[in-house]
Amino acid sequence: MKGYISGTAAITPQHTFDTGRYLEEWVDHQTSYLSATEPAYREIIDPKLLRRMSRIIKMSVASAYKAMQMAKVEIPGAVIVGTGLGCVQDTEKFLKEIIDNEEGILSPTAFIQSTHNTIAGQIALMLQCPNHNFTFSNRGHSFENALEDALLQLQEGVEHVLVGGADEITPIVHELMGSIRCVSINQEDQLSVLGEGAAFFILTKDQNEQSFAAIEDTVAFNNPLVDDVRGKVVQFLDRNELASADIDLVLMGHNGVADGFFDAMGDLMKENAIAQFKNISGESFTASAYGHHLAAVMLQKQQVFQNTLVSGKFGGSLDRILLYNHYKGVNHTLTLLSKCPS
Amino acid sequence: MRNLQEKLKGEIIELLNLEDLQPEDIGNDEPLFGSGVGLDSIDALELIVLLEREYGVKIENPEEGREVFNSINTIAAFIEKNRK
Repeated sequence: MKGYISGTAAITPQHTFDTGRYLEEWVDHQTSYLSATEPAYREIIDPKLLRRMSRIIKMSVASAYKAMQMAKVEIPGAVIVGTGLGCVQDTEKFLKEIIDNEEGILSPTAFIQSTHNTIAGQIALMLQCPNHNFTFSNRGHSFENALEDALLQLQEGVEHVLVGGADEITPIVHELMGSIRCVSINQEDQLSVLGEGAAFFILTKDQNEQSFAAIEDTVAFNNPLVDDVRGKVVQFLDRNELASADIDLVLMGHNGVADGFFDAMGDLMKENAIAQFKNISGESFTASAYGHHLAAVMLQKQQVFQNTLVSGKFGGSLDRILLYNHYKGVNHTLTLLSKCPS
Repeated sequence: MRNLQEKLKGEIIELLNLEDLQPEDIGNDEPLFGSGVGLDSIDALELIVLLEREYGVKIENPEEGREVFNSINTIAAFIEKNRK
């Protein structure tokens, strides 16, 4: 399964939406989680539609629009979204209304917007796109499942697919996840820091003038032991007829916390340049969507951003990136991305 | 009645998140739907909830709703007539 990336855009806690200043100014967050650095939406989305949108929808719609503009696609052949927690802000609003009004008269908008598939639905409504519309919500593999569906759509003959991943944080979500020791709630915690954002792509069946990178292969697997990682990576490289020396950069979802899986990967690929992406995106169920976006941008710009390089040196041509991520040691991902031949 | 109209304008702007509008921008007889303020069917549902929650008045008949929600004046008149 292969798909060409002809457009992509992302909103993250850093400056990643404005391609002109991509990761140029580093945003220092003083909060215990990383809030998205959002653009002026009114310049991108019709204000009449904007008034009903919560943050996750705004982030997704803006990213989707920009990816489509880059790819010069007006109506995608499919809209596929992965989200771990969906529209949390509106869910909270709706639940609060149920309590405040003692299960009485409730606002329809908060209910309509509270469902996970609101993002894909909203994009389709705005585009008047009647094509395949699907939302995957499967914890740390929400984006990966969406990506696999997108690649299957291409394999079945669809010309181009809009696919993305998005998650938002609210203070309540952060507090709840912190209270079960899932994420860091203060700077002393040796736990991952929660982040939020959206990353969208236009994947095309064939390479075209806009294509700048390709997803060569991807695999998602669950609950491996640390010792299994080496075998999984070797197997993945083998099936793509590659050796570790053929990889120009390993991009990992390391989140700054001691982690046997990433240590094993680092040890296996110690001769390669290694970069990270969760210092930009923070941890979330769909952080890997940004990882894929960053890999695509690096391949396009032929640049490894200074703030991402962890070890090794990058020099020369950047032809292949191997992305490795896992969410809480449960949901693991390997994706091979390559530069498009000019 | 005049106070009710001004109150309604403020509530509608806040409820429907009409950030671009100030109460004085909405004329008392200006159509709320279509070419006027530009509200749509989901907004109509929100207005039904608003009237029931804040003023205790119910709109039972959809045809009646079409007339009631024509403008700020028609909503205010409906509230005055049906409020207990």
